Amino acid sequence: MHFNRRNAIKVFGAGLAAGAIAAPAVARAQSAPYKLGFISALSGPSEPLGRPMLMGAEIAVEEINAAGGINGRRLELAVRDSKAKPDVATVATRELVGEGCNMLLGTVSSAVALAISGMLQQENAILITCAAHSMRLTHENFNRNYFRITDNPFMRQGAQAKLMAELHPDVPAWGGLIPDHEYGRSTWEAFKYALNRFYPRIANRTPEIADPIFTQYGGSDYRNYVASAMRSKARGMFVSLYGGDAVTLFQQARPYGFFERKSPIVDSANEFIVSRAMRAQTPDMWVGSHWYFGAFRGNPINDRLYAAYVARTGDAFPDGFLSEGHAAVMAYAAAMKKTGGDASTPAVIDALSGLTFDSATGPRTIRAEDHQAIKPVVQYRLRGAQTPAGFEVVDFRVVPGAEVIEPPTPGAPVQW
Amino acid sequence: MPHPPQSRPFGVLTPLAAGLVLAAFATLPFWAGKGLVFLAGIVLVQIVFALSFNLMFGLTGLVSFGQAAFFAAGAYASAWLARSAPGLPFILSIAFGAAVGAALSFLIGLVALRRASGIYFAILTLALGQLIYTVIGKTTALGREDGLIGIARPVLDFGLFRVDLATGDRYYFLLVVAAAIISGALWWVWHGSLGRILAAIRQEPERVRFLGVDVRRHREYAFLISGTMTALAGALMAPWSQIITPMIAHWSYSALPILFCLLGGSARFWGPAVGAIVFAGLEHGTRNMTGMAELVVGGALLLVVLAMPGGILGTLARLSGRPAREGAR
Repeated sequence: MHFNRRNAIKVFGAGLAAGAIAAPAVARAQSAPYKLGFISALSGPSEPLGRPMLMGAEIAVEEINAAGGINGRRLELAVRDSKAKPDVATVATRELVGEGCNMLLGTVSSAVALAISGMLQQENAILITCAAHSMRLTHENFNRNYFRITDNPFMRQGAQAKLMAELHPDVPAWGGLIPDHEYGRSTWEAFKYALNRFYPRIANRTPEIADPIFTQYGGSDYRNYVASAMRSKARGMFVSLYGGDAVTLFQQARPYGFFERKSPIVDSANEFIVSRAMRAQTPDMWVGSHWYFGAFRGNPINDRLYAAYVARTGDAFPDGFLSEGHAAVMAYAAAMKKTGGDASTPAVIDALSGLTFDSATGPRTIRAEDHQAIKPVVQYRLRGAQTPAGFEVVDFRVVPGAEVIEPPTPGAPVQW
Repeated sequence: MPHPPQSRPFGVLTPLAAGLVLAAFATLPFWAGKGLVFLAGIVLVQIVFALSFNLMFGLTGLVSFGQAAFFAAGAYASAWLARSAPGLPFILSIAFGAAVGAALSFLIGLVALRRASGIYFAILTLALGQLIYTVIGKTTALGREDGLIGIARPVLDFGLFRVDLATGDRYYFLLVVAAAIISGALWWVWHGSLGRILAAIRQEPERVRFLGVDVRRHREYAFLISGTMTALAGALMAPWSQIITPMIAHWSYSALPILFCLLGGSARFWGPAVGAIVFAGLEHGTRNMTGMAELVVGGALLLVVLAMPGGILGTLARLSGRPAREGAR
């Protein structure tokens, strides 16, 4: 009896679920909205990176809809949490594609981006990533359905190492604390390459580069790694842990006198995430960023985005991930204007390849060869301060993307 | 209505329910979306994983916290072989995955079963499992922390014709058939003479030893069968998810089958399968409640474990007045 009732309920439930999935497909008509699938880390250590990305995408969708949509059709976001785990992300991707979202955006983690990128052609979908930095995405693992809207380690860490050679020619000894996965190795390889390239050229000396210290993702105790770094002769320290892991590392490094012994500190990508947690204890460091609102004042997209962020959160320091979620939506919008409303995968891929569109960092161009965006590389110098936020931006640099980008070699590794 | 003495607590209802669930899985691609079909494939693998685990846990009474090591061994070994020698028949890479799992479970069983009682065994398997996790995460040939991505779905070559499993839902149907066959084999072990000895070992190891049965060797059999079948589940999963990361070797992955067993009821053969399906339903239903999902799933599990001793099947049996018999069920 009980089994029969259970099964009846199960079958009924399954029927409901099937109906819920099939209904939108049936109801989809000409004037139905364009659906964009957003996948990013919305929980776990990478949540501080994924949340602003989502907010940026939402703000862009609201702006575009308020202006009448694209070709008279509204935009809509379907949101999924990847938990920064490739297996969770692949389930979410299949689900979104099954619901009719062939245009995907988001992702923090390179492993997630590589996993989704690998299934795009089979699923006939497109992915624009807003942060995933693995060089493999636009090189050895390149496929036509994948696009990167932001900079990459060759560009960003290249610009960071160059700036260090200019500002600190007297510090040739460098080491690194990097997470032991694709993103961490990508950033270190790029930073090391650029140190070797720019120190002889600018500082007129050969850099002494120590082996990097590989750390764990999602760890809670980084003290052993900090202790190893303290023993190293390197004075300059490159850190590419991110999100909650970086916050933990920086907080645990302070009691060791880490920031007195190691200087300069270069942080690859934590925007304001570490300083928001450390406040007045924030060490003096150069931080790599996707977007710094203060560097693009006067650009109407920048100013509107900043105002929308402040209105939503009351916070004065948006992370650069905000502009990348925003830019990915803007890129799809520009592409669909170009196709005249055709949202089919081949049409959108053709439109995105070589596309130039406007963003909070000014115009960006997606290279047709390897689908890497040419965009400015942004870095700022932060330190703790007696301000309401607890920290301040002392200085910033914006390097045009074209000056630091690598030659495109889709299908082949970067030529270091 | 009085019940005649039955060999199984639910009588004809069990095969009927199993048949209905199998039919639901087999027809899923015709009425559900892509995302759900993918998830169902994962659930099928997890059912095999949990049923294999329960052979050791529910039947033999050994609590292992390192079962994910065998799952990962099977997945990584088969994916690695398929990648290194792309021309090899699919069945060989699957068999290789199972063989590596068998070898590993033989070795780990040899060490861990020296201390077969309670906490020692649990901690030993946990430590050895984490060792495998760390080794995979540091091995470049296995993709280190990033895992192996883009694992190809195989082409079955039958001589006269070829079936490309990358097309449509074909690999899913292969999973349904494979899961049914492996579950059938495990059912046969559970209900056969070996299963009865293992159940007796759980209840009274001393008495069984007194009857002239080599208890340790039989525990090793249970460990070996369980590990091998778990590795087989892992090997089947790799081409389905097309990506494997060291997370499948992590202790938290070892906790999954324990959870399924407690949820569905470890005293019954099909309990873990019920647990796996219910758990997947819970997770899928709460996937968009970001931040809240873990809380809801955790709360629901706590409720089931506290309010329903014997799991879902145990409670159903109690409600229908068919209490569990001791021994193999």
